[in-house]
Amino acid sequence: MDKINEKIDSLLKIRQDAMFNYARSTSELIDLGVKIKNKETDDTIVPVSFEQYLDKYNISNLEFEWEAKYKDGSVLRQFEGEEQRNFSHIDQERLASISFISNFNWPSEEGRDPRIIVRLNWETGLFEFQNGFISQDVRSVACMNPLEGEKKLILFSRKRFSSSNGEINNQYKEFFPFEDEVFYYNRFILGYETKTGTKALIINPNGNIEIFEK
Amino acid sequence: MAANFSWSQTYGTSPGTVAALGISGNLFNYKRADDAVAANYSAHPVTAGQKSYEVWLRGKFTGSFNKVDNIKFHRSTDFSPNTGLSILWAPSTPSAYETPVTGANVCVSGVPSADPGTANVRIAGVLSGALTASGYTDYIVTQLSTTSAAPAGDSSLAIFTLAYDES
Repeated sequence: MDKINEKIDSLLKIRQDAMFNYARSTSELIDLGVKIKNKETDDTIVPVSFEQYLDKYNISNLEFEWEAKYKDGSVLRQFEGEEQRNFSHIDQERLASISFISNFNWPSEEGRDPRIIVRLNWETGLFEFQNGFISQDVRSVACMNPLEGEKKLILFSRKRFSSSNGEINNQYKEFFPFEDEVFYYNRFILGYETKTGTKALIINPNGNIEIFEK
Repeated sequence: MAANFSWSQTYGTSPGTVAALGISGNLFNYKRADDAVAANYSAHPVTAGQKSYEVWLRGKFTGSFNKVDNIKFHRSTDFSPNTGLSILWAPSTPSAYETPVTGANVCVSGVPSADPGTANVRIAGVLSGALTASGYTDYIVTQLSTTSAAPAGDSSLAIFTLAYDES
């Protein structure tokens, strides 16, 4: 009898640990900005810390979209109605600034634009920020000491797709509801290079911003 | 959506048949049959000690983009448990399709189990290659290898990851 009780307690512990680890790892993935999609329900879990995703997100499926401002005041957006633009459409000679703007609202004070905006002033080579999490170390590099010389724009997104493959053994299948998940993770890189080096920001989908220097 | 990514499988006698797998769900299973059907794996089991047929995959990119490059592929999670099971791949990521086999062929090493850091999937034969219009990566070939220790039944799940840069 005692051995059965021990076995039950042992299995309860394994199960409880597994459920806790599942909950914790899911929470941490979401906090990082990983989106988890269930194929069967088509539900996508997004970070709850953001107040809301904007309608624009549903069109592009991107957490950030770029916007180029030219010296004459005109604006070129990555997505504008039915039109989509890419890097090749940007005229770097006419550029005044280029920004990545979030498609979700960052928790912020009332009356303030809640989107995250990361702007590169093309004329000065300095970055400017609105919302998001930017450490003092990142700010000190991004907002001071621009690289000298003619600039070449760095602007791309780094995308990652992870999908589960395989089958759960039939004896466990009815207790395993997690099949057919897809995990999306996008990062957005904005910066420039000159003959002397490279300076770029890596914008994570959770609003954390890192610096890349070479 | 900018560039659209999806998986594509080529199967059958060379030059092969191309099947669109999509992006989500259980896209393929390792088995002793060469086709692009995930569901029929139990009719074509891999007996302990055998290898599966190779699975010849490619990343397919369509839509509007300037450049897609820096393709990286790795296995994020292994089977759980993975007793007697290993997933091999072809690090050469061949440009040319070959008829899949169940023996030793192009899959000569374990599939990377961590982000490789730099591109490990070729485009048009080179790791620094890029797509500037709709097209495919080179082939990502994987194969299940088993030992006599592999238990009977389904193998559980493994998670594969593909990453790329898009401008």
